[in-house]
Amino acid sequence: MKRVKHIVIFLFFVSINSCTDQPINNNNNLDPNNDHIDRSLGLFPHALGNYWVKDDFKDCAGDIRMDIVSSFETDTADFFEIRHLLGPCGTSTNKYKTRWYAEDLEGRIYTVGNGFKYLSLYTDMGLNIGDRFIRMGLMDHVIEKTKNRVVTEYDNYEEFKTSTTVFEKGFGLNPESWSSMKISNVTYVRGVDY
Amino acid sequence: MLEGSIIKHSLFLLLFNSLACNRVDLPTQSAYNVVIPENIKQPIVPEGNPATLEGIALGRQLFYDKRLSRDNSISCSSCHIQKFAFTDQNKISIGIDSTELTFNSMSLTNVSLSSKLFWDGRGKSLEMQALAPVINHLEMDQRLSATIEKLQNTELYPRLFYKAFGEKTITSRKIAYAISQFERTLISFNSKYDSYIKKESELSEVEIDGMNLFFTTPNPTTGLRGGGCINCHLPQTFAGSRDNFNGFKNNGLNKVHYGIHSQGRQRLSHKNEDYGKFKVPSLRNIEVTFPYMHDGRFSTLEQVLDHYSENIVVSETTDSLLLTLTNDSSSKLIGLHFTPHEKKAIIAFLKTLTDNDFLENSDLADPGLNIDL
Repeated sequence: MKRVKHIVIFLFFVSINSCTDQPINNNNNLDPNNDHIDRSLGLFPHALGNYWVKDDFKDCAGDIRMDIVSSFETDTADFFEIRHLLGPCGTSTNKYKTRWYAEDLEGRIYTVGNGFKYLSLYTDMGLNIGDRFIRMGLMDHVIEKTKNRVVTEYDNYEEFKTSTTVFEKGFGLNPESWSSMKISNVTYVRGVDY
Repeated sequence: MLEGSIIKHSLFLLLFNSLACNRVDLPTQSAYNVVIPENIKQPIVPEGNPATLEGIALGRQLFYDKRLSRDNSISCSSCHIQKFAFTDQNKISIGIDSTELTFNSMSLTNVSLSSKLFWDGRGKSLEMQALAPVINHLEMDQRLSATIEKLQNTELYPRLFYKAFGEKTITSRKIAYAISQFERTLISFNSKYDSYIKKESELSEVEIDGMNLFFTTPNPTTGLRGGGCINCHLPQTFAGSRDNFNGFKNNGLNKVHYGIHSQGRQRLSHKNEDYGKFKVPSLRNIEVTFPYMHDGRFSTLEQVLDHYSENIVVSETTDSLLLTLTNDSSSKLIGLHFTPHEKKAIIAFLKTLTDNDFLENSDLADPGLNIDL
């Protein structure tokens, strides 16, 4: 009888605990309708010193940190270089790679290749839901579009899955995936600020 | 004490009941051993995708099913037709909406013995390649999700997937795995040449002449004549090397096309030294895989032999053997300088690589399950 009592007490506490409300984050800066954010920073904010960090990465999960390390402007676009820190994969350790990108005045992001000889479209705020375009050899489909956000997805045939890419004005690439980010000297922490 | 006993018995009954309710007779898959001659380097089969009769049957059905294209108009077999050794005889293959694609359709003869796939080697494995044409907007133009939905909504496929993988739920991985299993059965080692090697049949005099030329590296100093073909089209498979990208060569074609048509390996490696290097194809069943070369520029084997004999274009990446091998060192033209008889003989030998059993094997044909589209 004593054991049954203990089980009942244990279950009571478990249920109490699971019913406790988690703190609600009222500061979701990633709300596309939040107009307090400086959207003029662009689709991919690229001031020197901006960075994005992932603390909860898994092995082989790709980028675990991005840093804007250099930039310059032309009449038609801003060019910026990102240093990507890649997570360890198998027996390998972390490694860096750098890549140039460009953002034009119409809200298009490009990857820049082969010594600035070509631009390849990465995303485009001018597209609408249902539109599609080739990105890095694969067809990307626009599945969500608001004034501050464009979401695309593509089928990755080598990994048998569909992957999603989010660009948010003022926050950049896949903002929800980062643990924290520093943009124009403001630090945002996931769970606190978004 | 009594309560404890009740709890124990209850838990036991609960566990038993749960197991009994969930008991499922899983289908058994029959392992299938793809037979490849022992002296051939065996293909690499991923651990997670061993060949089974059920998996191969499913892959074969998928290979021939036009449901894999956006408008149900084309299947893998549209560009890979069995009687043409799984090519399509078009100069450049035709995709959805009659779109002209980039390259000539590669033969799938012994495709499992290739380590790098496609003319430019971008395919890392059969599994990782299988869905590429499905989602390619010029080829079959169908999203993975749409493909799965179409197949899942048939009566046939959930049953076939269940037999092959033990689950009726269809995934893109299972689709790719099944197609790969079928492609690994596209094995061709039963030609007239193979019979000759096994001393089961004879070759004609001209075929023997051609074989000797094929296997002989010429030496004009000693008067030894040959084509040296075997240096690139290796013994048994008559295909390029499987080691790294050694099986990719610039075979001295002029630039009829530009851009990705002519870049070859360079498009992926971004190295100048790879410009114009394309995969050395298998010559098995070459008789039926015309037109030839990555861009289908040659309609006949005679044109191919003329190219290697007199029309090699010199560039920084032209294969060094093609620049040095010759039967006539006095000629200013780069090339092998075959006589008309030698050209005929080599072609006669190449035709001994035709494997009619492979081209007509009913196990590789459209299973014809008559699915209404």
